[in-house]
Amino acid sequence: MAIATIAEVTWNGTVDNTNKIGISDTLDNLSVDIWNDSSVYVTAFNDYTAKFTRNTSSYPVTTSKTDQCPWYLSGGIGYSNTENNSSSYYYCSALLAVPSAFNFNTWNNGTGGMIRNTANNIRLITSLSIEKNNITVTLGVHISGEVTTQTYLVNENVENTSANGTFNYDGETYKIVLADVMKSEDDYFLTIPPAYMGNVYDRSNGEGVMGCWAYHALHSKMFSICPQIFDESDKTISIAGTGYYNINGWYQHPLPGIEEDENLQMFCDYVHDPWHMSIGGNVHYHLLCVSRYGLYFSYNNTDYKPLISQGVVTGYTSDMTAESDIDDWTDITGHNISPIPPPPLPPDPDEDNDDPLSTVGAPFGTGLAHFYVSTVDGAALTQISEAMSTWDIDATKKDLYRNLISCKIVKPPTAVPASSSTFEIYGVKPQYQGADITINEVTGNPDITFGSYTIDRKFNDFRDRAPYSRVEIFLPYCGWCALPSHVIGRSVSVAYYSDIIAGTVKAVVFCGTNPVAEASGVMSVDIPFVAQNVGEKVAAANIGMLAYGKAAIQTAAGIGSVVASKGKSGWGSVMSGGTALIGAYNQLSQTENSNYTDICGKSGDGCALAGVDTIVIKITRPKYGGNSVAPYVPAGFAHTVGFVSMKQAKVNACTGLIVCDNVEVSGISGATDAERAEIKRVLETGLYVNSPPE
Amino acid sequence: MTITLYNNSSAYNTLYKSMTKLKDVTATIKGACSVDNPNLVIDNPGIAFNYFYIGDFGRYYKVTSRVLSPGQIMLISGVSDPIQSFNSGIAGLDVFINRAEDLSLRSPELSDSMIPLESDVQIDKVIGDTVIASGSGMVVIGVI
Repeated sequence: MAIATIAEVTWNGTVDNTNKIGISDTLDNLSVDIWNDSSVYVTAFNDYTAKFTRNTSSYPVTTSKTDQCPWYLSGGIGYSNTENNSSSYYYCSALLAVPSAFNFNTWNNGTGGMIRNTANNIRLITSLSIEKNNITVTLGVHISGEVTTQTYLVNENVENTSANGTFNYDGETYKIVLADVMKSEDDYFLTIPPAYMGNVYDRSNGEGVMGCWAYHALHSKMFSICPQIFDESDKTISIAGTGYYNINGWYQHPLPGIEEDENLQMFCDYVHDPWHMSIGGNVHYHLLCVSRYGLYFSYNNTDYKPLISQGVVTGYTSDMTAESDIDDWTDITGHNISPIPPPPLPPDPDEDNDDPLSTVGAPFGTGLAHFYVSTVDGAALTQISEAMSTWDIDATKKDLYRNLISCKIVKPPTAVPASSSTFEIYGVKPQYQGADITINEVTGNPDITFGSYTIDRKFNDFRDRAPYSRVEIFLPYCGWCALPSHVIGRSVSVAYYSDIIAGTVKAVVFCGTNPVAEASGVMSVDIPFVAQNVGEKVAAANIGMLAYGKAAIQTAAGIGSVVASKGKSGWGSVMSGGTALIGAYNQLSQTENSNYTDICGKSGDGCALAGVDTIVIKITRPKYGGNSVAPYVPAGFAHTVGFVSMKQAKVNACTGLIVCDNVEVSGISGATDAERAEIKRVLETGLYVNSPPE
Repeated sequence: MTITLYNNSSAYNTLYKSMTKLKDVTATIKGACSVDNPNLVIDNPGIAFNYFYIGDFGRYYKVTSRVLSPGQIMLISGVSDPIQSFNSGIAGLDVFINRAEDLSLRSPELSDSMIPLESDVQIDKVIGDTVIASGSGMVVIGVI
């Protein structure tokens, strides 16, 4: 039997984690987080373990008749009570849409009771869906009716607060609130009109049972989405007696792969008990509980991925490459925060890369890994270590909960480009409270160019070239590097291309605009840390906490924007293998091992921290002591030996000694052969050319 | 025939010799006279000379021998100096120059094995910028 839906309202509200309603997808997280002002009003519902937390309290689900058995439901109403009319303390809650001016305190009518709405303008919220900033609320029939014997209960824990996230419907402004019907020492029930209920009992004479079919809506939807998980085979309806109906409680089939613990078993048993009719105005109970499951889950050794479209889970598939909005989750800064982000696209083969020296650096600020830089000192490094290794944190402090993948002390050749925004790592242990260190997210690699340096010639001839002269350059981080001798007489510059992630640096020497040499070096020291397998760590985390992760990532991405988890419940949802390594910031906070990272320090070889820090160019030249001035040749060398020429000229254009080669003398008329031969000989052995006499 | 006596002070392989004219004298050929190596008889000129010019031959000769005979008769022999004789023709030649004294003709980047080099070296340095700043550096952490 379907829930009578009277309206679907789309509310274009804004969602952030400061003072608004945060509502997760309807079926991936069957809970509603409502904030009012700055406090969290309702916390997430912890599914199969049958626990939930509200504010700072944790409420287990048990069969004890005297224990509290509260849970929050989304899209439904539920309550529980004993079957024997004994006093008990139970909590019940429902998601309601109430007029903005609604005052819960007006329901106060002593002990016991019900939610009563004489104005018939309270709407039961049967489903919620979120698509980023659009929230769709499905309203069920309103709660109405009176039973004269019922009394009303003061809901001391429900505040009439003016929550944000109001929406308009049917001429009235509504707000979404969670109504608590707090503990009662007497029987109580909720009056739900027949139109809403499948099989309902009137309790006009104070007897009878009441039931609620609200769960049907949720169950049916889940069944349609993932039938292999949810089935209705256990649900039966029987009609007996005088209009009373028995309804087998439907209980959440535990997901395969989810650990069942004692609480879950009791919970399942509890909810599976059929309705009981009692006399005297006591009730029967019916639990509405839908176990929440994670977005990704395993069943029968097969992994399933949610198909999400416009914020709503529309189905599941075992094809991890299937298109789904879950692959495109981004926070407001554009970072992909999908649990399993799609692999990066291959580079465009047609894209030209004309710069052979362009560095291939990491796309800082995107992807899974982020890097942060801070001036190092002993206290800062210790604080980082402490922040990483502790588990128990003060929720009001911003904390760094991430998977630490690297830690280096670097001495780059220039300042590391970093965002102007700073992030603070709070020392989480008492002795570090208030001793904050500031870190900035790395936005690029620290590249810089030094120079130019002019290398003068000395001889101005072949002696300034190899093999007679040679040039070497000392490049800090890298060591000595030979340069081609043609740099003599030119200028060189040195560009350092750093890789802040690897802690390495490449130095390229340019002569003009041409690279002439390059060398690599190390500019960092690794700080090794001990960590357990990251995948295992995250695999143990409950991905349902993505609600927090979502809220957190709505703000500026980065450290410090994560709200720490509350409580240390044993998370049982198991992610499959390495796919557990997701980008949700707060996953780490959910592990129980406080020794996740243990940073220790040591120095290593090749450390740039100790070394020559200046560029030095060394030119090795031959000596010639015969003449200390240019052209650095023996005295008389030019007149007696001459310099290498290898040029063509007319004899009368020359002066001084010329020694020719293969002289053609046939043009000299009147000379005998012997004379020509002599002329040729003299020209080829050395002729001094002078000016003719005047 | 008439010949001119000169005194030359330039090296043989000089294009335009510095010739000092002394005197013209009458010479007779002694026997067969070669253009390249003439033998002539002249009256003792009473001066020292080392070159003579035979206009009939159009050549300058370097004196190779001078023999004074009785009666003040001098026998002279010479060898042709084609450099001096044909210096104007030589001056107009296009030549390929291997080596030259004139620096304007020098090709300094060409290796020259005639220039002596010592085995010892000298070191020159150019000091550049400081690359590694002072201080202890910074920490970079990577997280997921």
